[in-house]
Amino acid sequence: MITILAIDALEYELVERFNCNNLKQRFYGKTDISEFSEPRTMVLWSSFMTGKNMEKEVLALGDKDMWDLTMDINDTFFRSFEDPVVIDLPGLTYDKEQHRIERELLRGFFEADDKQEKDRIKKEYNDHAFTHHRKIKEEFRSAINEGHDLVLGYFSVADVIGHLNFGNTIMMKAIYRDLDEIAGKINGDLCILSDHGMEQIGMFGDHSSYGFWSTSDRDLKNPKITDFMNIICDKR
Amino acid sequence: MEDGYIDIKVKRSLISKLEKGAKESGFYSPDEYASFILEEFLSDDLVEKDAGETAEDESRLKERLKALGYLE
Repeated sequence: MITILAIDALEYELVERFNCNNLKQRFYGKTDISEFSEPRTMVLWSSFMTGKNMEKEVLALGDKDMWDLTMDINDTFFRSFEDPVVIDLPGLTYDKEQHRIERELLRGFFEADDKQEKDRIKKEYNDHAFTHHRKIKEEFRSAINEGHDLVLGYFSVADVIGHLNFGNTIMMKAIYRDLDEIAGKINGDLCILSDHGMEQIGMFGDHSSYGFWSTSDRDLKNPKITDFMNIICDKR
Repeated sequence: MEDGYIDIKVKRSLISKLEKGAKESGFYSPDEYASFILEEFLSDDLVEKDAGETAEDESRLKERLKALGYLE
């Protein structure tokens, strides 16, 4: 079984700082996403799945509709596997309602006039994200014990929480430790990557201009996110 | 402030460190040592303060989230 941890916004510098040895595996580094005009989640994961730069196609959908993009699995590298499971991946199996509510709460946060209301919305936003994370963890844990030839778990918690809480080191450390623990429980061939990282704006977090990768078997140096299609298919 | 103790679960793998720490620091038990560690960690002195939310940072983030497609 090949396992992929697709961790949105996993930041290389925090993996180092928090000593996340399971996330690092044997080889780790940064991905090259410089070919993209902005580190957009839907663009990057679509490009990961197809092995080609999907920026033009995804952006043509517009900011609202791009989040509802659902690709045909036959247009992705998952078609090369007999019995793949892909959990919550943007552009394929994304829980659209869950993530729509996240964006709605984000909008509400910016529109709120007073601090008390902002704090209330932020708490609701955080609770919503952590509840979803627990659900995904359970789904992932079940899937890796079912004998599939490929399991991909997409974890959005670092990105969602990071946008409003990146300056809260304790919270971010707890998230990274949790993700590290998830990685530590996987046996066999594991590939970990993120679409982009995160950089601090005061209390908040913006997408950084590189992603994270790690493997147990070879040094990928500075791969592009579009390289992972071949990297993963070569493992079959 | 409430007195007394409650039970909290910790990972089994921590017990040897708690026992060692308690012994070396003069605490009567790993429970007492664990309480001390938690009190220190949660105190205002050691907990890293939030960076603080400024209007300027919020405005920057808002613009960035628009550029990334999160906000229409």
